[in-house]
Amino acid sequence: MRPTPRFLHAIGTGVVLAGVGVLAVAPVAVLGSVALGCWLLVEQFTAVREFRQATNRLDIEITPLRNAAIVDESLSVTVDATLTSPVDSTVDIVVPLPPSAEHDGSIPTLTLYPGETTASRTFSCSFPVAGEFAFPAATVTLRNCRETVTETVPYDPDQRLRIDPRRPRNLHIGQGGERIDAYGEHPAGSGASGLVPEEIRQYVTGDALSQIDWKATARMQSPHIREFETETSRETVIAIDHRHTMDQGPAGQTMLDYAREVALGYARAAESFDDPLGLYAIGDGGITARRRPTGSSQGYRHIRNALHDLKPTQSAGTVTGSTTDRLSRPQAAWSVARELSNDDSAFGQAVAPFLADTEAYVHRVDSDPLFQSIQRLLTETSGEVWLILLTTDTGRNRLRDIASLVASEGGNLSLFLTPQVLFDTGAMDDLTAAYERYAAFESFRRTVARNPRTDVYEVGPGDRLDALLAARRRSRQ
Amino acid sequence: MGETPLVVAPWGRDLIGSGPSLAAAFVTVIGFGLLGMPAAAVVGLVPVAVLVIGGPLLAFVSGIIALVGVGEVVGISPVPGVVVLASFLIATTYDEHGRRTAGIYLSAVVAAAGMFVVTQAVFDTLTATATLLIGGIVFMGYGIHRYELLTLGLLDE
Repeated sequence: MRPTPRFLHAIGTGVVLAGVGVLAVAPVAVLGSVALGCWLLVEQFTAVREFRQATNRLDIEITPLRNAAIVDESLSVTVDATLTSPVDSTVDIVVPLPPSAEHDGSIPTLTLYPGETTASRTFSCSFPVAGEFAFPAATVTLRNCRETVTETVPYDPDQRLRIDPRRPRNLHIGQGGERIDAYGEHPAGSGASGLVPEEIRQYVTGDALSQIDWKATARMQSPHIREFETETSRETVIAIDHRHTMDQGPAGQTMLDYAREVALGYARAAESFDDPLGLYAIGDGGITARRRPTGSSQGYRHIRNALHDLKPTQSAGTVTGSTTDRLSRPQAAWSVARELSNDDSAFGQAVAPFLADTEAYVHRVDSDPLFQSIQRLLTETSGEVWLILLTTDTGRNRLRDIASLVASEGGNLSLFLTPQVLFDTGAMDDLTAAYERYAAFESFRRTVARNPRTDVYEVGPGDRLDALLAARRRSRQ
Repeated sequence: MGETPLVVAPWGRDLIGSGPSLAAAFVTVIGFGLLGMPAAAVVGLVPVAVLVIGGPLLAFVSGIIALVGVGEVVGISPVPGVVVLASFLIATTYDEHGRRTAGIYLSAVVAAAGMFVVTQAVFDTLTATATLLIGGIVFMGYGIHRYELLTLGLLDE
């Protein structure tokens, strides 16, 4: 409770009266001061009652036009202040914006004068960075009817806003050019639920019409539906590659942007099914972000924020040095091992066992940050993990190794690959060559998909893939 | 809304036409006349005049000052005189907060006057009486402040 100048003036008057009374030995002045003091006490007491009434009746709603927007997009936000019934106090409301928000003009304020029950204000703001933002608590300043005292109370509007980075358009997720409906034809998070397509089966009475897969129906000549796997007891881990190799494509539509979009879709789907979800982000130097599988809403939010924050890492440089090059070839390594076996020095004796017992191929695989990170991920996650790996198709041998490794550990792998041919600048200039590259990718995809419990999907700009396939069809005609 | 001018009770002007304020003016003039000599009624006109100019709070203060100056001359005792003058504050409390709060204030004034009499009788010094009563008011004011923080949930613990 803070006194206003009016209150202070009344106090001052009382003090003067008391002083005069004591100095002049005038009981009437002292008693007048006491009467004034009693009046101030009553003012305080009634103010408390008014303030309590006002805070109980007050409701503040902050309503953005949408709960999600994209970076730098102007967003209209409406603040509504409502009192269930009129109060005697004046209510001033200041609505601070999240720290990162940009807003033209002053901070939005509303005032409810005594007798008023509603006030509303609409303003626009934008956010230069992606992430989830909560509106800070509004500051409610109450003034009693005589404006002798004021009080400021916080009011948490409990309103969150999600700001997404600029998203790639025409997201395609599919196999062999055929789209999969999981997260293919719409932005992540806004589509139908379902984690991964499991099987196609014949339509039976009772199945929802929305489940019908029309392409499969056309192929089979009878209604078929596509079922989605929605197991909830299994730990799902998203491993997203954000090495420099994922930085291909125009700004806002790089491989990483497409991979992130798929990962965000899975994160939202996992949250809607209450699946425990973990995240491993893999950069050029290895694991850059790690979120252990969690089923808490805060955990899902952290994962989404981590995905939004991902940027391609810098290349760690080619692995240089004659020693490494030599050791990457088995024969050279064995040769060095032979030389060291005759070396009686402490160095020779210390290094020789490593060369004698280790194959160079293993060294090379182990030095691959993606492979290394997946190895660590499998070690750190218990049980049959469902791994969703998002990467590109460079280093195909490593990807085969990773698929084999996950299968051998008993895990399930959903591998989402961004084919280089769909992101290379100028690749579409020669459509025949581009199609051959795509065919090679498709062949590779099928090879990897032969591993047990492994699904492999292509992810990329749908318009480019459509153009590629359409050109192929035209050339055949 | 801009801050009002630095006077003690500018809102009082609006109350001049109100029934409770007029009643307070009437009570003061008649009360002073009955408590003291007939000239005391004229002294009662001072706060009534200030009520017109500055409102009930200034009227009360001006009445106190008048009593300090000529209270003994016109034969008005301090305690009844202050209780009568408090009618201005009772009136404005009634106008703003209603009968119940005005009743609470009247009770507080009567209780304070009673305590004043008792304390004076016990200590026989005005300084001790003033210290005790004003100290009690300050303590209660702080208590209300803490109670307010508690009821509005502004205390951390």
